[in-house]
Amino acid sequence: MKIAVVGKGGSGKTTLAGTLARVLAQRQQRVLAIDGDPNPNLALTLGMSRADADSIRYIPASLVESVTAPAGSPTLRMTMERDRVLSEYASQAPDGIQLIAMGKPADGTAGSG
Amino acid sequence: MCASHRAVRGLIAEMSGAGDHTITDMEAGLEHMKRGTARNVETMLIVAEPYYRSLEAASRTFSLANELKIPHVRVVANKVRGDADRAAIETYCGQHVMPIIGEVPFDETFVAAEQAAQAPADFAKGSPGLRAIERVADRVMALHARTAS
Repeated sequence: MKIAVVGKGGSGKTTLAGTLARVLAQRQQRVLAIDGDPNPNLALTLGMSRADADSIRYIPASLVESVTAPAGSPTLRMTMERDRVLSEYASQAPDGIQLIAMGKPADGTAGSG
Repeated sequence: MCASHRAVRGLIAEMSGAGDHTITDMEAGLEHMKRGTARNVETMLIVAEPYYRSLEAASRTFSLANELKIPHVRVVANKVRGDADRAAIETYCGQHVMPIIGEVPFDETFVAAEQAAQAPADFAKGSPGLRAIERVADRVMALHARTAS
């Protein structure tokens, strides 16, 4: 299943996403957690330590390129295969969860809650 | 929208297709979403708090998610502090025909978990909040069991 969690800042969206990931992983589901928030905070609610959260490698936007077909509008294409992205960028979280993060740490506020 | 921002969204869409089970913590708001960005989303959980502005935002997101043809769009009522909160959310969602998949109570244990820099899943075992999220998980799994091959 592919789940997206959305909500206003402060709604508890990240806490719900992280906790739901843990609950599903504890039910023997292999879960890939994706932090797509520009102010990434999912690691802590997944149960990673601050030290581990601080050592996450963020996936650079340069892994996507814009391709324009002769008669079409531009589409985005990844320049690295998904499996390789996972092996190079995924961090391990509790219960076997893999975490990848796309966001850029916001200055001064990253990890503040 | 700047090119790198668009690229990040493309990456999220692409990586949501990796593995059997993915959970994506998305950027607030859906205004940026296009069909391509949403193609790997089967269930969208809209987290709403029991006050009017939050519910209004949830309603906008709900409409956009339906336009994007996301198969299952559900509201999670969060930080519910009692019957009045529950009634507010249920009334609003009823009027706007938004299905609620679960209600998570406001839980001091979650606040304490955050202060201790720990995950609710570790710190708040057995708490009302965690039990409510377990019920949300049950229902999400049931949605997918119904639609799986």
